[in-house]
Amino acid sequence: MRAESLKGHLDGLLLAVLEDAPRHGYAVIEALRNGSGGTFDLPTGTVYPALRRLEAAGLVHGAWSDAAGRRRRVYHLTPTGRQALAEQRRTWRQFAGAVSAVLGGGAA
Amino acid sequence: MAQPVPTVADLLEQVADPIARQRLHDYLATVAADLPGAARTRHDILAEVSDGLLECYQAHRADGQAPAMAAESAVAGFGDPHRLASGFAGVLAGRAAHRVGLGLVLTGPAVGAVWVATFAGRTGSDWVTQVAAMPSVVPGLAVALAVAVPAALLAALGTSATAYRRPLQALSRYLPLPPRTAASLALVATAGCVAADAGLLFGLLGWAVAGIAWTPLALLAGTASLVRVTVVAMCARRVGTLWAASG
Repeated sequence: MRAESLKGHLDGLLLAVLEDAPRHGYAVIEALRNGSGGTFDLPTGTVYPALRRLEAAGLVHGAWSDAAGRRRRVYHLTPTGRQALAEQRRTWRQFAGAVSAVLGGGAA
Repeated sequence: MAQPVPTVADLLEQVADPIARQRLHDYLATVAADLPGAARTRHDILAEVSDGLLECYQAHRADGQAPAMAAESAVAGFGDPHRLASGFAGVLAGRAAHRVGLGLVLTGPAVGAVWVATFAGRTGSDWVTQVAAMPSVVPGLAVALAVAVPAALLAALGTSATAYRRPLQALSRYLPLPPRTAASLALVATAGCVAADAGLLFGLLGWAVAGIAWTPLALLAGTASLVRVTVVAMCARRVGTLWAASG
């Protein structure tokens, strides 16, 4: 799926990926890809600036840490980020429910 | 003591193949050339991108790709380096716009109060009367403030830094503003602020020409505006650079 299709949802997806554990940028990309069964295979260049934007918004916090003998920048969700994620989920459920109701069942 | 942030050279040392190392180096050099902002910020961003690029390269090597092919795959996975740098510039532009807007919103009332007190002391008017009289005392002041104040408020409140905060979530359809828009608003607010401060400073010069002595309050007001104009101009230059780089 192309990055443009995710416009408006990328923030929520990134917050969800960070919900369970802190991750560095490349691990976020892999988690998105694996979690979506390969559907969300975003250019890496899209995700790194997005993580910095979420950090500027106070939704995630990034810090350099040592992992497996390697110094890397790891992001974790802040309390404000958890609130924003809950709001994103609520909004998505409303949206998805409304779209499903209009589109109807139809043939698979 | 915390370990320092790794450099690009530190990270690329882990790539044994010279052709692969050169390919990754060239990609990172292109990103570095386009990255705006303070040296420390650029170093931090570049170190993070380098680490991710190295991880991507190592993943392709683990999949069995030859070094040169793995480097090409990693670079392709990261996408256009100019676009990557532009993405970071956008984030920095939004952050700078927020700081400029916030600075103007916070200093505006204080500087304005000192000027009102200065002119009220000169004319003997009460505060309310003097505030109402300010637009006629300083030509163009009303227009400058009408432009600067809304622009500064939008730049301060409309960027990612604040747009996710609960009181503003009702406006989530319109916020956060795109970084370039926020940066444009910050520049407009800066121009309005400089125009307003310049008008007030010319008023003060007029006193000197007319032989009217400056009171300590007038000196304070003049100094506050001069300092603000200088700081705001420096910040506007940075915002302008980031605005251009985020296009």
